[in-house]
Amino acid sequence: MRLDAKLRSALFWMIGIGVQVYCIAEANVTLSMLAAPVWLLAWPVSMSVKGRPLPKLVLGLIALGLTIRVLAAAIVSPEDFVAAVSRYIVWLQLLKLFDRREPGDVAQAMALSVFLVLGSCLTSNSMWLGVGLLVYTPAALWGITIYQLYAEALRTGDGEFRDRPVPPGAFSHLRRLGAGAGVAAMGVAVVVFLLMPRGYGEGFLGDVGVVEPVSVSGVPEEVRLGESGLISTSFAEVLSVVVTDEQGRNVGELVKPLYLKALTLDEYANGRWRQSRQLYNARGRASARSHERPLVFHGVTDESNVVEGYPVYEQRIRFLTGDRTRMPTMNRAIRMEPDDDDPRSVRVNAHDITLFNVSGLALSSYTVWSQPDAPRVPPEGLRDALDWRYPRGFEGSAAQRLAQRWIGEAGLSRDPDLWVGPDDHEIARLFEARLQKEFDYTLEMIAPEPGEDPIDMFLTRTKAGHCEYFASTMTAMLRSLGIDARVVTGYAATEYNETTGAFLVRENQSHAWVEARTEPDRWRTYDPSPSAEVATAHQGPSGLVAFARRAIKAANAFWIDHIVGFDRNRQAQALGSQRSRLRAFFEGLWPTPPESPQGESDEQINEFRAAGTRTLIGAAIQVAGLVVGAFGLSVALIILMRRLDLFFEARQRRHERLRHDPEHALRHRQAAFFRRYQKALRRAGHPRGVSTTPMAHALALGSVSGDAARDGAALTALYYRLRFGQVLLGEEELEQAERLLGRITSALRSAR
Amino acid sequence: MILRRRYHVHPPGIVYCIITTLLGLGALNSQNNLLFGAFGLALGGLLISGIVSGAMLMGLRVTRLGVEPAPEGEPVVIRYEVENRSRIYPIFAVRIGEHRSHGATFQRHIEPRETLVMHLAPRSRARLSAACPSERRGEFTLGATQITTRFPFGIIRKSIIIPEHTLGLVHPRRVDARRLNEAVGRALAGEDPCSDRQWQGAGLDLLALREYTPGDSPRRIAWRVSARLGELIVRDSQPTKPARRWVALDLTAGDSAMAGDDACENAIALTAAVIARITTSGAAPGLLVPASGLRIAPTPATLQGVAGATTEHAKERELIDELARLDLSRCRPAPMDIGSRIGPNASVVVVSARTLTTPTPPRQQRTSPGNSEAVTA
Repeated sequence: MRLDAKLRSALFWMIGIGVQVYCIAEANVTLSMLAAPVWLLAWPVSMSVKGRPLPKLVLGLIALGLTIRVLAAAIVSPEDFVAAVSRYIVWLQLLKLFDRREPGDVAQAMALSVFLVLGSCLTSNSMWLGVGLLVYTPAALWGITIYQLYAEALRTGDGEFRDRPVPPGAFSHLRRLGAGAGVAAMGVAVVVFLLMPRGYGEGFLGDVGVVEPVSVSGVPEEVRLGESGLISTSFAEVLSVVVTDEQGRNVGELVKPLYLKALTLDEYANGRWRQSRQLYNARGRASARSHERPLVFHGVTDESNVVEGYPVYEQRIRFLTGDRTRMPTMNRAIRMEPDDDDPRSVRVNAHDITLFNVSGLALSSYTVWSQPDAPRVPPEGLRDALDWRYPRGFEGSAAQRLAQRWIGEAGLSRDPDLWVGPDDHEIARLFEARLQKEFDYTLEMIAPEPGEDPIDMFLTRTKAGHCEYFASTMTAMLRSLGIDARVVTGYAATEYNETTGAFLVRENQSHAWVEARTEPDRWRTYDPSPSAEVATAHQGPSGLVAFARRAIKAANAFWIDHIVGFDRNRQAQALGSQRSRLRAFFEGLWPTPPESPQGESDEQINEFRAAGTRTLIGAAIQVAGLVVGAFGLSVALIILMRRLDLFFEARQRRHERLRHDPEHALRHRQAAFFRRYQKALRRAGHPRGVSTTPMAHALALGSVSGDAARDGAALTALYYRLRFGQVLLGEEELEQAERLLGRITSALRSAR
Repeated sequence: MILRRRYHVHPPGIVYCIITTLLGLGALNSQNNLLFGAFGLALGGLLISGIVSGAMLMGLRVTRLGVEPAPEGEPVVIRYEVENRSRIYPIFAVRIGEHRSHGATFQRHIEPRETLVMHLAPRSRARLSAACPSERRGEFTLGATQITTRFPFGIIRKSIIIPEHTLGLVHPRRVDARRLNEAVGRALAGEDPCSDRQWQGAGLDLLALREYTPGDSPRRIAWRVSARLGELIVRDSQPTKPARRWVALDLTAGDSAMAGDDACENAIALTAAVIARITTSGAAPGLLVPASGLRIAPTPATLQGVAGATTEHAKERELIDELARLDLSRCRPAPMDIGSRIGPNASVVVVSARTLTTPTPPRQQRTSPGNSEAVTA
């Protein structure tokens, strides 16, 4: 192949992949679908020496049209100017494919492609962009390498090297060299990626290069029954959560479903739940002390919250998409650490122990420790944070009537003036169980009648609703009895991925449940929604597609955890572990002697020395093993590469010969009967050995039948004429070969 | 020999470094890990480019096989042998040229051109040549071979220099001897009354038939052959005794002064043409340049026919090489004392630079005991 043709093909692939990478980054399916056929149409021009480019006039007119379009876009909507310019570059590159110009133009097109892909990195950090980059990088390296070869040929002498054919074997060597250089460059990239300091210099250039997360939904600040709220059918991933116990064991399966509290809603009016801005005193009256909610700890570790005797769960939570202000956690967080942000920017609401980020910076991950079932112990100085209660409400409502009927039926009672009653937990459990049992779960949203309270509607008319209705109703029932309760919004994560050990929380898993104060310092969690229906509503997709999707999601989780979310903490972890391993290794090589060997007995000293020697020998064996292993691997790789190289060279030679020698190509086509004959024998269990000649193999068919052996010999003789006699067979001989083959095949079939 | 890699800054490399720096700054500013990856890849490209091309260059050995002289205005061919000593790295896109160091003096004489090693497999060798247009007659020195590459990514231009001294020559420019006027042609062909060919007589054996050139004697035209072919064909006979011709080059402009450089160059070019013509005619040429003290006697051809022609062309080459080496700055005006310098009974063609601004006809003299007769053609 000529060098210029190779260059055009390299440019073709580089631009095509680059454009698709850009489309992935921009999530622009339309552009991708439009660009792909245009790109494919450029194939004849790119791949063939005789391919005709478009006339220069046509190209110029199209380029002019594109330029006018981008200028018009700049005037009409200046905010989309950057996107318009990017699209302009895309089309300009595709246009370049239809042109036949000088190497300088090729270099420009390649540079545009590289800039377009670099620009893509500024707009997205999705896994698919990473996959696109993995495909694009080798294509770009190959294109640039070929271009350099071509440019040097052009620069040297008077351009006489430009049209010279490339020496045989050159591209094979070039492929190997390019692959090695590419792998080495990527290795360097990995090292730089690992070692570049994180967390320094952030924001010093403003928003340059900052990729804003795409906001999908998140937890709404209020729930409007009958109108809108948490209900969503979107499968968009919101969070990735890994839960471990105190021993570091993953307990994802045990805590399934995982309730992640984001926000509590405690004020109800006109069918809406929202968070109260009001502070209450111990009698449930509005407090005059402050309208601000008290904040307990400002993102710092606060061990004083730990209650002995209750399990502690560590949650490593990573935002995938969505709002990053609210920070969902398991109930009763006792400690938290943001992974990549200033700890002081995270606040904890003492009222309901919900976490939120007030810094305004994009928080990517955080770690929280929780004791879900433990009573609450506020820090010193803030004991009065517990000394409050919600005002009683829902008096005379359908919720109160139902609550009183149910506790009466259960033989329980509740004094509404008490702060906390002895049967409160039983009452809450009763409501939870009966709501789950006697009401239906549905995502069909029914609007209440004008003037009708949505909770009353749920209790008396529809008797069906979704989690918001169940949680609202239970909260109303408890409040009507004087029990402090509130609606909790967050996520009920059920999609546990065993591969990654992480819960994948989707937008459709947003959920509402109830927290009730059943002891003076203890809030318990209740979920009155029917669990089976909730699981069905919240379950991820199923089937083969779902399996593939889960696998992709696992890869995506890895991508987000290890690539996109590789922050200062992860860097410290990764490098720290390597440092400690290195230190341990060298300590094993040179063991430290006891500080006062004089005080030790000879036996102890000898034992120490023997241990040191053993360690040294062990280390030496390890090193030797590593060296031998690395050497062996290298040799194996070289042999493999050589084999592959020989294989590809032989294939290329064959193709070249078939292409350039018409008679050989004809002989090759005529020999098809022999290839079918060999295949038939192979299938019938008579494969030809490497050292067996075709004729000996044919005669060995005597074990099948004498006729088959004779026919095989005759067929092989024809093949010998073709192969070694370099004689083309006539029509009659070819027909004879077909007849012989038919007879042999039927003989083999009958023998089987 | 210790070879040292050299790295050269060039615009694409500068642009690449600026973009890489911007990538790094953007990555730090945004903490965008994809940008960190892209930055790492850019650094990796820079590093690997240096390593690959450096290793390629260090594995390459170039030997200059020689320089083929050429007349002024025509390309001088420099031949190289390249060897890839590496067991691993193939060579790609390496340019080989001449470096202006280590005492190189080729700048005034040739315009250096590079040649390209497109591909050289590990442990293999190849021969290449570079055709460099010649600009000025003279002897020059090639000081060092420069091997350059930008492969694989074009980011850094690397080179190594291998010192190796080779002498080269640019011959006087070629002048078509057929343009010499008829009388000179006749004189050179031995038809002149003073010619020793005339004295010795032409041989009887046919040497060759050739096209007629102005100055050939009509007696030597092969009429039957000419009639058959439709053009004049001349019969060359085997001389019975090789003729000797001296060519004297007079570089003085008059009384004790050297002629101008252009005139001298023209005279030298003409002298080379006369020598070539003498050789073609089967005579043995000698050269006398009083201004430089150069005197090379005509060597009689000892062999006849093809072998003889080879010997005579070697003689021609020797004389033209000497003319190429003629350094005008070292020439001093000297009298054309032909008789005392050459001896009696010698046929001499004098080429004078006195009136030559473009190649013009030489004069022919014949020396005799005690005096010399000049025949001006």
